[in-house]
Amino acid sequence: MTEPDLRSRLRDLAERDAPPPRIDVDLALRRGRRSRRLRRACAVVAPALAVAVAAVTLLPGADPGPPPPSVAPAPVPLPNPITEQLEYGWLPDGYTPHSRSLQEGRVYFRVTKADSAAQVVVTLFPKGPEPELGYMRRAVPAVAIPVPDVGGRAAHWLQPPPPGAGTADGEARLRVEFAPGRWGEVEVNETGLSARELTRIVRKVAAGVRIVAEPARFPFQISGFPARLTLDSADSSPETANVHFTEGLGIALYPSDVRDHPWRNEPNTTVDGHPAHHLVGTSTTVPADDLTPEERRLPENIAIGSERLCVYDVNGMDVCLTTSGHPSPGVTPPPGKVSLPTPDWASEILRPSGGLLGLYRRMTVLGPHEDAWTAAPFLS
Amino acid sequence: MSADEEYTAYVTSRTLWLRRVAYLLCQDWNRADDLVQTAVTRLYLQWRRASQADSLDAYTRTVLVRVFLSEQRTGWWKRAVVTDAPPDAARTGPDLALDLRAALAALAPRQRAAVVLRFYCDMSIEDTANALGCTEGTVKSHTSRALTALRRSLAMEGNPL
Repeated sequence: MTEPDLRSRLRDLAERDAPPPRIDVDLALRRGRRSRRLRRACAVVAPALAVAVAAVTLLPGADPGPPPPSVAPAPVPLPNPITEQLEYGWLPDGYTPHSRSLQEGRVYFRVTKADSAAQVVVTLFPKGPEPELGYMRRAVPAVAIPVPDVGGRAAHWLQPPPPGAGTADGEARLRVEFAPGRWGEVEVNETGLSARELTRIVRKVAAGVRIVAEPARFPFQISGFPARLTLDSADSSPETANVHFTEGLGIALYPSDVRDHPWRNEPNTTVDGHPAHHLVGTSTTVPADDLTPEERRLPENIAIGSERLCVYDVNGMDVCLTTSGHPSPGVTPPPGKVSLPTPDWASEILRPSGGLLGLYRRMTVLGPHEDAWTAAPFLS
Repeated sequence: MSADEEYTAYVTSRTLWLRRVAYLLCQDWNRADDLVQTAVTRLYLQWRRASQADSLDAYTRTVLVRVFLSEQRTGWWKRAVVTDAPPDAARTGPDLALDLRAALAALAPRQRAAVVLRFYCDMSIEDTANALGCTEGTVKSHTSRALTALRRSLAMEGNPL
């Protein structure tokens, strides 16, 4: 083995085609400021919470038992996080719509090509002025290059059409005002095409895109959903769904016959007759960072406030609910420091209504067939 | 220029670089974005100190690596929450980059971090030790074991490094 070989191959790997970045500097600023406020708040409330939290922590391996009866319902249902769909007037041969996901206010629609890594990504920005142009691959600042209207709508390239100076192979991004005050972006990631062909594809896809009202459908429905949880990301893909909240709650469902999904662990308990895996962190200090994978799965090495409940083979699906300690970015203290939940952690918000087990028992699992899914996953 | 403006300008100029380092650490673009998002948020909290560091890039890279290692400890609940990657391409021949990705993924997180810092970021053993918060001897040990494992994995795939 030579070190130059390894260096070269690491660079090749890092500079392969990548999906559009989702890094938002403004969001980092907002979260950073919020974390500063939280730190000040933590210093006041944390000691009092420690005793209460430790007293009710469940141990792994035991059936957690019935949840407390009290439920604090939301005054109104949490709205469906993804309410729009795209219709495509034209797509290249072999491409079909695959999924749509919400991340920090932007909705990503992915169209994939069978047996290929090629994809079309259409990003729909929140209503309002066009977002900043940002950067192209290889850290090239994006420049707006005017073009004639596309499908009768204002548009511009983010840089000269490929292979413009500084672009990566196969990169082409077109901003389009799909509706008044509703900007989006069309990007095709497919290598091996000529610049002329890539440009033609992007323009033709963009010209045919129409936004229609069509809420995403999810394979579950939860009643009594807490009002204080704020949706951070959602994904609706064939047969699966993932939803995450800024307070640290995660909800993931996979078909039970997908045995290698990331949440599939050896059952250690049962819930209502279903095999389940339940793990609850009990550490009130931040665990060391040199633990083995096995050690990291021990409750005493997992931060309090972190819990995982996966219930398997429920109406043909595996249901995994999780809460995380330190859900707010930027506030994880170093190993050995005292780590205690604050009232805005999901573990604390869910506690009055029975925690993750209570949430699971208020969930109806609709199965892996999309025709049975619902557009109203969160009920009050 | 205010501190927030300086921070914004710096992070904007380094996003793609950070994203590539993050991708090598975790082998998943979605997760790489999450790591960078968390790292730059943490950087904001430490901006006064970071902006006075001898090397702001080195400081930022250390923040990113520690976010990655911290996630190994406390972030298992967030794994693969988004399923938006296209189906894997049909393999018609050897793909060296994909094989390396798989081989990297098989390494222990700290070994992987050592490899990325030493051979992608071209950092010295001393700087790598500072970034990982360990001794230089531990870096040498991580690197040696990682290279052995990479060599073995890639040889099994028929494209030895």
